[in-house]
Amino acid sequence: MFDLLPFGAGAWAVIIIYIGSLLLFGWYGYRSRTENTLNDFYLAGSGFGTLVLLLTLYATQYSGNTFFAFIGMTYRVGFSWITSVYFMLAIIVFYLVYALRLRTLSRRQGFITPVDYLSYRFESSTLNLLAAIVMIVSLSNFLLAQLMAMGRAMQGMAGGDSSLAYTSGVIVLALIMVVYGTLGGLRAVAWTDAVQGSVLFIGFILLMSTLVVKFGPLSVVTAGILDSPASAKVMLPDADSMRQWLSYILLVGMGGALYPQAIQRIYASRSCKALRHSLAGMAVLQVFATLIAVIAGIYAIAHVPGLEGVQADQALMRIFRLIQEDSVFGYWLVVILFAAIISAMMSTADSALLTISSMVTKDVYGSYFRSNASQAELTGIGKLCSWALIVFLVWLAILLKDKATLISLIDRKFDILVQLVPAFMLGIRWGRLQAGPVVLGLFTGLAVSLVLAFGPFDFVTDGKIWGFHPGLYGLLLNLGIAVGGSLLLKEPGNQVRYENH
Amino acid sequence: MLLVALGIPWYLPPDLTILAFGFPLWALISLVVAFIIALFTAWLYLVEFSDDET
Repeated sequence: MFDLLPFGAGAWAVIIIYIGSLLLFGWYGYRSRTENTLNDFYLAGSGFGTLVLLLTLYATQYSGNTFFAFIGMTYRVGFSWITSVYFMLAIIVFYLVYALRLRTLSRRQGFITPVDYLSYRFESSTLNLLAAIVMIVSLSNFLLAQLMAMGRAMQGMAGGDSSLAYTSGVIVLALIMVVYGTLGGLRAVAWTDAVQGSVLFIGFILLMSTLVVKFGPLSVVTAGILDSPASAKVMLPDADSMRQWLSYILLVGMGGALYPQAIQRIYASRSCKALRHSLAGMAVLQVFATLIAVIAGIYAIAHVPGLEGVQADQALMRIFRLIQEDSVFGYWLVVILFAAIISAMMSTADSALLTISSMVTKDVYGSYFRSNASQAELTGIGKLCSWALIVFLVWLAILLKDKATLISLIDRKFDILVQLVPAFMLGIRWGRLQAGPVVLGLFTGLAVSLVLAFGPFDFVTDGKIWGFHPGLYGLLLNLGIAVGGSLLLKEPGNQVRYENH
Repeated sequence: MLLVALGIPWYLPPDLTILAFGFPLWALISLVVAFIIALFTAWLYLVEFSDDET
């Protein structure tokens, strides 16, 4: 039903070699380690220069999964998904608030995980634990979405709506991913990010060119949609959609800037200059990368009509099929793109897996169970943790196969993650912010967001209230409590920590 | 924030169907504003925020 043209032996060989080559990155990353420490394994020795940092940050924000989700969403709502250009850009804008200061501080204090910063700034074990749980849960959600996307990609490649292809795809790809990730750590993950990011960016530009040659320019396609039953997808969005637009900008902008794996990349930068240059490059790159996905979705509306619900996430597959049928060049372009997309999903998933394992190891095991554990022991525990988590999430991905669209998984993750805004973004800028109100605000924000998101309320429409995500209502309360409470308390005990910034 | 307010096309008439370069006019305006925001952000990183290094 969502089939690509059947791949020949040559195409399968290319895909297997391409994906299999990821193991070489793991092996090379393992060989390149300089010491058996958490810093070397989880932060690649804090040695990333501008280019690798740019590409790995790009791949962290913009995974293979994003292509499926964004093209699927454009397919559902049309041009109004240009909002994705804004919210992806908003992530880079929100980094302005805290990333450079955090990087400077991390170098001085030797941070490994995001919680290390909170521990230094607020000295509150309650906040550390709560923040670790928030980040682990939201990252697990993110990882789950990547695994499900891998399964759907394999489903498409196998042809037909095959459950077996989905299940075996999730299992085999997760296995390869966890092997190279636990071998090479962040080095291996970032190098694969860099390769997949480059291949995808160039490949999708070629895909766009091929679509234009086959179907004509975008003007013809858009005019065709205007004359079709899908004409509403070209029209100006209504007021509710525009509120959603603003909601996505705020929610994804702040939440995306607080991706724990992105925070670790901030720590891993070689210098502030490298980080500044990378983020400047990201700002421009994001616009083009996201726009390509939107335009591909528009071509899908015109030329692969009839996909409903979860099926819309398969719009990219349908586009691929059209390109495959067009020419030999199109066929091989799809083969390479497909291999790169799957590899990018694996690489993104592995980033999340690596970060989760670092937090479980250092922030939970190292803090609460074995505070005197050696670096080598903690690194070993981290690798074990990766294996255990991936087994659990693979099982969940298989169980939830048809239960949620990719975008709904992404929505819930940000509702949770955005509650960390006061602790990170305000905490690094405002010395009076204190641990007690931040903990209370975080707890309240989480409770409000989750109750609104999952409670049986009539005023919650399509997971949103008056067009805004529940996480933003939670954040409003969260910020009010954190700021109000800190102003009411007289002596900020962590003022010295702030001034040391 | 001003640029974001300009980029979200709340101020345009709802029945606007003019196409330009393959985009509905409202979408094109929005994209141009997004590109300006991107360039402005890049400039901030390269020039204005270098003080945060210390």
